[in-house]
Amino acid sequence: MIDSAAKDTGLGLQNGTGNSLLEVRDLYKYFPLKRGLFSRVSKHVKAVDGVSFSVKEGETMGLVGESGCGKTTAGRVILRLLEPTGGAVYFRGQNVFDLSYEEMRKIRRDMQIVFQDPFSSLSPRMTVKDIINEPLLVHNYPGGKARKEKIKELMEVVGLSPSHISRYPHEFSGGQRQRIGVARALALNPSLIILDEPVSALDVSIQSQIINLLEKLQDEFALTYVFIAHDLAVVRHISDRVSVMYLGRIVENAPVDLLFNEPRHPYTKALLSATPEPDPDLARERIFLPGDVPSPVDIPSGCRFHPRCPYRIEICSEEDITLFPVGREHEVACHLHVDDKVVL
Amino acid sequence: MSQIQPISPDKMSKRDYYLTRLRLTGKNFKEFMGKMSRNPSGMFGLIIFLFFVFLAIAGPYIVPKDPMAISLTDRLLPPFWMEGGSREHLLGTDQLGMDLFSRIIAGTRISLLIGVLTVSISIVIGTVLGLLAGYYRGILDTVLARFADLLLSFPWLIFAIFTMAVIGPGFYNLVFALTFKGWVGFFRLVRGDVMAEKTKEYVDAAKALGQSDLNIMAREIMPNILNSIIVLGTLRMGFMIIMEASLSFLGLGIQYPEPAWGSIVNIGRDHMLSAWWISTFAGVAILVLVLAINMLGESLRDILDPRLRRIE
Repeated sequence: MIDSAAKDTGLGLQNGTGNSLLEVRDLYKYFPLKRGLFSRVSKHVKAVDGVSFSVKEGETMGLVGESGCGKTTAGRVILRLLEPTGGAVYFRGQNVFDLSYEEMRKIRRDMQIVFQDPFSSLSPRMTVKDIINEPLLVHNYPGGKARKEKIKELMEVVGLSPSHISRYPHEFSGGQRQRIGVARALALNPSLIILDEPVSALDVSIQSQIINLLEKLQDEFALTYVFIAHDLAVVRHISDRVSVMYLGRIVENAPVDLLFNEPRHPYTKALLSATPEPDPDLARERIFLPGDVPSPVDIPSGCRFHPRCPYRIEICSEEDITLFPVGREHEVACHLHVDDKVVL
Repeated sequence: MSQIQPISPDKMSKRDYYLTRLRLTGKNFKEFMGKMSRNPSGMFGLIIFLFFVFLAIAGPYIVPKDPMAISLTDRLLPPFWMEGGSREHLLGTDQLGMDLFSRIIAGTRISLLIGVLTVSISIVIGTVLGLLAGYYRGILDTVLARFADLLLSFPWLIFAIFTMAVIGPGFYNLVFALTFKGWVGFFRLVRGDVMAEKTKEYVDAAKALGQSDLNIMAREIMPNILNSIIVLGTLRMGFMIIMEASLSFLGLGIQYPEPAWGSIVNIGRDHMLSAWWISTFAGVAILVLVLAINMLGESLRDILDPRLRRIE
């Protein structure tokens, strides 16, 4: 049902979006809900419900949203760790959903992921050497001494002491473990790394170290990042562009300064107003959102944000709305801004 | 003429890989033995168990008499410390004049062999099926899990008696009958563990690196569930030895005059009042071996996988 739409936009790619490394078009991921043993699938968890964005080479795109909004799922579907329900992901102009198992394996060296939890993302029965060796082994990197040198080099690059090569993950701190995860992702010289909340499980002091490391590596190896997070301060620091996700869809997408200084979508405004401000005397508008995020099983009609939106108008509950441009590189999905729509 | 093959880099790395593995295993082994030595009941179990293993291997060479030699003039002799006993027959003889001491030593081999064989085969079948079912889920998992539930719903002994009655007694039939239900325990353990491990991010990481499913199962998940398999395997071995003895006692397992502990106990039953030693010593042998294995298994569990304590 969704595939046809994906094919349409696939054509659009060839005549335009040129320098995008990653192009996500109408991505859908529904998880079937089964009740009982024999009952049919009646409902779906709509974790990712039509997400589109593109990331240019060398850029960092921040993907923010509350927990449960589908940002992690989106990251995993892009890498095909989960099979998509619909849509297309173009990596260097090639739709990764069309690739065979073997082709997918080959392209994986170019797109890697760093996980949130540095404890469960490293196998407790493998030494650091084994863990960083895995990608090299899978992709037939020359063995023997060369490989060991490569492993040590990678450890140094991410700031680990190569003398710890035979240690097990449990012998490291959380920050060090995350460095191991980064080294593993880096081993195959990828061009794209999806960072799935890479610092949210770490202490604040360690967070900045890892962020600095990631920025250093980006310069050094010309990496492109998709940075998934819920911490706006971190996102603001590292990202070039930010997409805000709400309930499986992107509601606003803009360059980082524009998004933080002139947010358009009420949800973005609410998120920004919830970040702690260093200056306690600064007067500012606080927006409190009533209620909880609705269940991704029963998504509200119309604009999916309308039940919690403090500025809702009549049309919000009736008509769904998708992203449209309101300025150069600034897109928003909100009925309040329809008048600002620009044609680029 | 064949050319001399240069050592390929990949072979080198494989050697390298296994050498590191071996060294690490050595390190782990030392650590393990350290913990073991601080666990007296485990040590006790291990020593007794190794003693029985020695008996099982060396048995035929160290028995003082042929365990199946009939000597009707020496029927039902008591152990050497009792009146009428002699040092010829340390633990006395049975009603055909066969030397009980030699028979019990020879029986060790059968008991341990049954235990090791049934548990090994069960582990192989249960682990392979458990990995596949837990990893891929779907229809395969549903079918296997229901079949396992079906087998589980029969009581062990009744199931074994029924199977043996159908296929007849004998060593290999016994192994078959015990394995037929034995794999289920390992299947359920492995399946559950795999389902739990599969949700961890290191499996996703392996997938993102392009690891094949087979490699993910064998290299990533297996090492993380191996401990529970070892623990269950040890505990299950004691149980299998009891099952063998029970079936042999009922005349469905190893047949008299083959020297199996269960059948020795059975023969001694007829002479319980006059020659109590026949059943008693064979029974004690079963008791000591199974006790030792269970003590070993329980301390292995405490050391390797404490969370299994819940399952018992």
